Amino acid sequence: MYPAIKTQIKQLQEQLACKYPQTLIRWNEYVPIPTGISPLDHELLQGGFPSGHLIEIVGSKSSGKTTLLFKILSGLNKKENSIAYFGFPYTFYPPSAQGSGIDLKKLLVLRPKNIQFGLRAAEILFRSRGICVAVFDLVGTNDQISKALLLRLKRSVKQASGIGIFLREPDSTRVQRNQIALCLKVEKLNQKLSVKTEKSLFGKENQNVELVLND
Amino acid sequence: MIKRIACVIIPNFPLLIQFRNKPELDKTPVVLAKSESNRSKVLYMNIQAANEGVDLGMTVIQAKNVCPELCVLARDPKKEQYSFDELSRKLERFSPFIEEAKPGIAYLDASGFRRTYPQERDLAEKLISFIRLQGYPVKAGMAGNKFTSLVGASISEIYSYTIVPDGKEKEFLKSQSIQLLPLDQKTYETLHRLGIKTLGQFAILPDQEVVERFGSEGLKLLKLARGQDDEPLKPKIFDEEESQAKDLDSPLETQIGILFYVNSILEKQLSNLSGKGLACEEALVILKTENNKEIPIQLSVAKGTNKTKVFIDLLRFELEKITLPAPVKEVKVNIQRSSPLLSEQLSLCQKKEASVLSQIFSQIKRILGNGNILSPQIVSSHKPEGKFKLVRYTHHKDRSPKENRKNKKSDKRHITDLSESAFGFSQNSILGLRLYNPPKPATVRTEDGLVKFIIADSWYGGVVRQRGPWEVSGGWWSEGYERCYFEIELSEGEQYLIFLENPSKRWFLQGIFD
Repeated sequence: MYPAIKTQIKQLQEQLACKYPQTLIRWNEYVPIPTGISPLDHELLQGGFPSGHLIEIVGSKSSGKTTLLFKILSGLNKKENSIAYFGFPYTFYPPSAQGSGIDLKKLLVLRPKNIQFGLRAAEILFRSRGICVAVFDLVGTNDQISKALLLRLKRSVKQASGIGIFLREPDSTRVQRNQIALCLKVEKLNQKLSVKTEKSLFGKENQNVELVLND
Repeated sequence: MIKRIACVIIPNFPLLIQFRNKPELDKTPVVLAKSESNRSKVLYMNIQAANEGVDLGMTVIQAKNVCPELCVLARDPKKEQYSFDELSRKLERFSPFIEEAKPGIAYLDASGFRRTYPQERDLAEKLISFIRLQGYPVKAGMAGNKFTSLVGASISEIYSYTIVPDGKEKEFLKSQSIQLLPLDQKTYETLHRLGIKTLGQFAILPDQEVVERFGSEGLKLLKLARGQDDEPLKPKIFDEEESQAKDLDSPLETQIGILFYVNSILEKQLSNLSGKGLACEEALVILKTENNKEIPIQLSVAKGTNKTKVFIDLLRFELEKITLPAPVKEVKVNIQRSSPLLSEQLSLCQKKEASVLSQIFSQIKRILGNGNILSPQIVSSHKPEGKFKLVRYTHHKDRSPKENRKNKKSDKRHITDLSESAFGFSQNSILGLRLYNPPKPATVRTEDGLVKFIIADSWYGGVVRQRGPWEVSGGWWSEGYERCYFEIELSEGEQYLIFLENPSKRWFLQGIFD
């Protein structure tokens, strides 16, 4: 590239950086939010969950996906972070969440009629920066997710530097794979949980880590 | 600049408001009470009633005994407030800061009027003649603080005024009656017994002894009597009730069109409000359709804002809910409630997050419905479905003091319950529970007391492992329940929580460990 053009690009970037700092953030840049589970943060993820992205946790029945989610939420919940929990249908058991260490005072439980309503509500919550994490519990539902609403949610999550987590079983509602930045697959091995990165834009894929959750 | 305050008193203001609607009562003895019931006390009366021997503080029945032709009217606080607000707004031409002490008494900030009114008496005269023109009898007082100006106005004759020069407050108050102090009956009687009849006599009492006898309230009274009232003026902020309508060239059928027009009207109104340092809390949009039907849409936010987009978003949600019977031919927007504009920096996950939640709460409520935004609380129970309750989420700011007290109590309970086991059933399992509420019926085959096979919720499987039973019973004071809980594991690794209900001997699926 010609040096003159390079200088011009640099000048333009500087001007943009002053006016709209967000425009210069590259797609793969993010601030990791630690989950509080050390092996997960350091061995599987690059310091934590990627902020501003959508994440999926998949596991079959009794695989330990809900337990893992609660543990992660208790880690994310430690600071001033508020969590919105969207249940479709509703099987959320608060004593179990509290037993995992989630502060129920910072948890907002929402019961939308369907996923589309939930996505819209989450978008508003993120846009107004009222929450840091939104969980969509899709276990046992087969509704379709509107692509347009998912894109809008993705944009608002990015703007708020929050995290959107979809929890599902392999046969329940699917989220468009290209919208997901990180997909964790959970399996139960005796008294341990095996977590594998099925998809990751930020680290190695198909990496595996075993967690002992009794600690 | 020297602080000067003007006080205007309109005697018997609530009674005058009643006379405006009922001029025929002008020459009959009339009293005003809280209600027309016999036990209500006489609060205001006209000169005719006083001449007949009626006195303030009498009950209505007592007053009627004294004067059988007495007309008793009930107070109408809303009407009084509205009329006084109207007058106060007109008084804004004299001073931008007006405090309404109560209907009939107002304080005006009279500092810095030297250029317009070289003498204070010019201002007082103008003020009196202006209020007189509005049809009210008035008296005024002017002094360096609120209490002295009130005393000045109280002792003046109708259509006259008293001006207390700056620094001469103590001297002026010295000879005034002790009754001018805001005293309760008990304190007044005590002072009367002590032989204290003027403010001057009260003012010379030592601080310590007054505090010992009358408490901190006594010290406040002492300050007033000494002309040291330091209470600042609390200017009234009038609600901006601005309305603007737009007749449309061609009727609107689409949502986008309506939003576009409302946006243009709202933008103007909100920028006007911003200019006055106010923010909108509530707006009413009225859509008039071609068949002359009016559709009112109320838009309210928890915290005042001047961002048009917030109201437009709310309107969009509302429009999605309704079906318009015909195209819209007129759009009207009315700002119904406003509050002082406060700026706040929004940031994610900071302490201010709570106030942000309050603002967006109304938007979410419109999408999900009020009963679907919940906050979980742990409560004490033996049944898994009774171990928690989901209460309707209300933001702390929106809660009434009663609700806050209630929440504090439940928070305490919440802390004590932390010591309880989270699951209560599966000490061995590492997994959390997903609860089916209500429990799902199941068919179970048992052999020698062991669960062998289960069919539930369109699936079935052989049981390879089980833990239990854990017996749970309670609620004997009402319907009562007796359950035997089992934790089972199927051949494919799925773990469920099931229970046998006694005495019906029916099996239920309570939840899945996941």
